[in-house]
Amino acid sequence: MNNEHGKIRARLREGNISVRVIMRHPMETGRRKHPATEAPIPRHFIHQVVCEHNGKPVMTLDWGWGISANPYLAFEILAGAPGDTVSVRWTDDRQKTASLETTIA
Amino acid sequence: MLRRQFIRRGGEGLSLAALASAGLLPSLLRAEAPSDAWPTEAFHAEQLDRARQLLFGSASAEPTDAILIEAPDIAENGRMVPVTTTVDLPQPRSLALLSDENPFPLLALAHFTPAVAATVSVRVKLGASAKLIALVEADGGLYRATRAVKVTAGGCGG
Repeated sequence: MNNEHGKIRARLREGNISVRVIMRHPMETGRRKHPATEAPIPRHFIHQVVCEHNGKPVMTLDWGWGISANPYLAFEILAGAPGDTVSVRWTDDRQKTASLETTIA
Repeated sequence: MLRRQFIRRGGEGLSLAALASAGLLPSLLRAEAPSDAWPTEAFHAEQLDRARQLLFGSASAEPTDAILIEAPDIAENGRMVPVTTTVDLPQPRSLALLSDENPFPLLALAHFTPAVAATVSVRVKLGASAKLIALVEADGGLYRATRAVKVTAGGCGG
């Protein structure tokens, strides 16, 4: 599934679900300056990510601002089947949340 | 409130631990419950050892070949360095990824359940050539592996 928050792809590989996600987010470190105005760009980053399989959390991540902009995440769920759902939701340090979900073909 | 919403909002009101001890969470979640708060101090630590201590206490980490860190030998763009960490240890619980040269060494933490393979790929920012360090809690112990990455253009400044 693609939406304004990013992209998720999940497919079965030898009985497991291989998941790849791109989250749309600037992941600002707080150390950069605006190129024209020199004004500091405030820190702004995704800090928590929850990965779910059929609605149950299977992995959680805590991130800092050292994760690249528009974060990429790949992981593998053990044992999956067609029709299963995989979702990834995240919260940033301004308490904004977003999520992506897909169903295994 | 849905359980997953509750997890995300762990900081508000009741703690996850309180719920777990009251028997309100299923056993899997109770055993593997993620920490309900983002580890603020560890992410703000400017010394690698300090971050490590905040996360894992004074336990020493045993070097192992069972943790594989895959990353380019030379990264042309330090803003986006692909890193895949694969853990081949029994009962992996958590993984911390750090860089010894970043102003704030802690990059990411992953909390596994038995429902996932202990393999995570992300892309990280490296300000300079650095050693990546993976610390893994597994099988009741703490383990470590490292990987050097040479960076030709740093990714932490403007």
